[in-house]
Amino acid sequence: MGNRRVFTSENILAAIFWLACCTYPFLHNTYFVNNFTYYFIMIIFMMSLYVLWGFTGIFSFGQAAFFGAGAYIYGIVSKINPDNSALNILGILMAVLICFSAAAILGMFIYYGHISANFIGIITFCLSLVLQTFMTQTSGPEWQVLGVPLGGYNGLNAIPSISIMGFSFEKNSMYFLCMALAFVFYLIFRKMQHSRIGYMLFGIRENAERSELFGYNTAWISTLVFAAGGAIAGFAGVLYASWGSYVVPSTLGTSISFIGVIIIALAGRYSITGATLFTFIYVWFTRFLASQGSAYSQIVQGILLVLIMLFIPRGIGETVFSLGDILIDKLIPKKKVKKDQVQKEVTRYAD
Amino acid sequence: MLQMIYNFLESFAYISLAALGMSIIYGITGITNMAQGELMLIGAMVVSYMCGMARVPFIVGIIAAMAITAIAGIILDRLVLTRLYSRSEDSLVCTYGVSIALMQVGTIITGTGAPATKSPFGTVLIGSRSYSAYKFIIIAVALILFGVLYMVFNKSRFGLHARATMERREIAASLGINVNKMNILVIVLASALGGLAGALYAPTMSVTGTYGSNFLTHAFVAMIIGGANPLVGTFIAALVLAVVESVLSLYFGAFIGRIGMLLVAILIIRMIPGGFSGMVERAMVKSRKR
Amino acid sequence: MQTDNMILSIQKVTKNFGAISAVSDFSMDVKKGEIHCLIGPNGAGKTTVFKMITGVYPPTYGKIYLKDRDITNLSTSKKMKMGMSIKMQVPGVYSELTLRENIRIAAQNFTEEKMIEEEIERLIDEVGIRDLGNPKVKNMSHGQQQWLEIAMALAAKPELLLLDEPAAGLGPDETDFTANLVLDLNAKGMTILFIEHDMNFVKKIAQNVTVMNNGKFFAEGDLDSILNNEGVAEIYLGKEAKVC
Repeated sequence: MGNRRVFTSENILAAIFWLACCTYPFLHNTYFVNNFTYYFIMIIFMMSLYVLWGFTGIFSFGQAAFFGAGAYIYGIVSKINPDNSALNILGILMAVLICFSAAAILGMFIYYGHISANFIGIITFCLSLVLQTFMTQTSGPEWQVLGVPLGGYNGLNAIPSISIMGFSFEKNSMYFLCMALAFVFYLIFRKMQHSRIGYMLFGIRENAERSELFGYNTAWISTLVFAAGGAIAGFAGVLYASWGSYVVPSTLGTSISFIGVIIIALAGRYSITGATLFTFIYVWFTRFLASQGSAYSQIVQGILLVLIMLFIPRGIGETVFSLGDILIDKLIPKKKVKKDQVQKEVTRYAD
Repeated sequence: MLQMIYNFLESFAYISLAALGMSIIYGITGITNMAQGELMLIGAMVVSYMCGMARVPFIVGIIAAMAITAIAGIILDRLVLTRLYSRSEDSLVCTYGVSIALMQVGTIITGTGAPATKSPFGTVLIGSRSYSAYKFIIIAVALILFGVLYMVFNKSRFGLHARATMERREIAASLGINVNKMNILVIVLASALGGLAGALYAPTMSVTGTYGSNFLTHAFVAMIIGGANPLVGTFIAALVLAVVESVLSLYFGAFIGRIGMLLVAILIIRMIPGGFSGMVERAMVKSRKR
Repeated sequence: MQTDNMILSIQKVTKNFGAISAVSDFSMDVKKGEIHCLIGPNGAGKTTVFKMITGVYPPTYGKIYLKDRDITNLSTSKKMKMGMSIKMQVPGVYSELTLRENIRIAAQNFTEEKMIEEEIERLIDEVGIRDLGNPKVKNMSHGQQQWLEIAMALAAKPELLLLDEPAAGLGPDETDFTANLVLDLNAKGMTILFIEHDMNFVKKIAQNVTVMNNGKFFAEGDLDSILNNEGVAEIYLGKEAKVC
């Protein structure tokens, strides 16, 4: 609120990150570029949980279900006739719409039915689990949707890439598509943090009942946000299916939920930039651990989550940027800092 | 017909045993313990290694499972749960972390599966079908357990304190209840129950790191619609859900049974706020008024 | 019976929780522009009445009218945009956010975006909390949080302001500050309805008083008549108190 400095540590780090992402494909070969694309898909997935949990305080374990559903729906529709690019676009639209609607229906049930917020996590967890188990046993030939066999444990493969008007997004073009999309989401949520909508959601996150008394229709808003979260997760799923060309039941599963949860817990629910950068760091780190063949990574991550939730519940993203800003203040000579900027600092940061 | 009754009872026992530990913790402390599945895993592992591998008598294995799981529960409580009593909304995520870590530990230890234990007591012939006698034992245990817990909650001092805390958690301490001691006893009880459940089902399933997640859906669902009272609520919830599951899986298979259970639970919690406990309480209050 | 003079009319409301009747056949009228106080022993049902007015609990029976409009069964968020607003008993503020963020959230439904910064500053001055700066609310004292919440309640530009125990937990200076604030607001035309236990505070500002006991209406009148009412003293102190 009030005019904000441009050269905050948050802005500088964000700018470095996105610029680096732009130049990456020109410095590395296709194999690495392809791998890197996965990070953007995970950033978008993370954001679906961030708008729910970070902004609105809705803890949902169901984002993995929507992610997988989006991937499956896109996979099925586009595989009906892989050469038909209209089907391809239809697949994307259907995936997002179905995820949005399903999330909206579930949301209405929960929020208009006054089901305790505690249970949202549990219910969405059960849903993910049940869906995953269900999809695993769809291996028989009788399990077909629109002529496309679901493949049970092995899932769908040979999923065509997203294509618009004959142009197929693959490798470098897929990289830039995913990067652009992730960046757009980043900008939108970044803007939202200081906007009317953002504050509305923060009010619901902090105290939904009190917010109702300030005139906010919390049931309606929560349902809408939940639906949006489902749609974004579904969209990330579409990108995933297109990128990897396959989707398996474990994509629906809880392990991808875990990644979203721990990233947001670690980065904190008060900084989208922190969450974005952490997604990148964290996914890189877990891939590194996996490549080292570490069997202990889950144990470490589980314990890490417990420690964060117990001792650093606000996450470290905020703190990192505050420290960064202090550092910048020390580096910039004092006389360049104008008096009214100092005054605005007082109104911007909490004591 | 007999088959239906058997399926129903089997389902009832499974849900009850899975849900009791979790419901007790939730009802009395407000914490959702996602690591309950892993406590069951510990129980199953104890029985597998003691009875399956070391040939210890089954009943000894069960008792050992309960004891060891209770100890594990105390450790979990001291390290993690204690800090969550005032922050129950964070308990789901926190215990989720514990669950993930323990699941991996379980996977490392058991690999492709812990040593299998044979179901004791063989089979029994009823009518034209042979049933595992062991399953009947499990059903009997579940029913007896409700009876025992009823006694504990209604006739013991601990039970009295527990019920008071469930009613009015904030002022329990000012009523002279040693809340800390009670919380530990609650965790011990719930963990022992988890260990018991895990141990009982060990001979019937393969025991790997993800053993616990078999039970989670049933436990969660029963907990949600059971409501605040872990005994009455779990009992009725298990009855209702067992009907749904056994009927649906008979006609459409096990997975439809599960999904149906979940959907019915969502419907029920929507229509009956406070779950079955709330419903029973309202009925009791009404009958007192007359 | 609605008249143009009444801003709030509560007519025979009852709230039952199962077999327990928290409020029973209670009626109260609040005239436009007055400072009206609702008192009664603990557990008399006062906060339940407030919750029925704001819609947190829908009345089991009875009706509530705000400016002649039947608001009995409207949703809370709708009701709170009709010219009334509330300060809760336990400070209903967002403790993890800053002072200005709190006011912003309260003001958003009542002020256009381009005017909102101005409005936040205006509310800070109206309540007189400018020298608090912009701390995180959990670092503010109880009294400061109460005043912040009044500022947030004023963001709705209410004609009727509900205050649930505005003097609770405040020292004598803070109580005076709050009392003067309420008198100023009333002088500008705002109707105030408040619940209070602190009789000093009540004496400072109340004009009319309604007394509740055991969920029922007990007595009503102007401040002096209620203060001198023996029955009222009895329900607070018990019949034995009279024997001395």
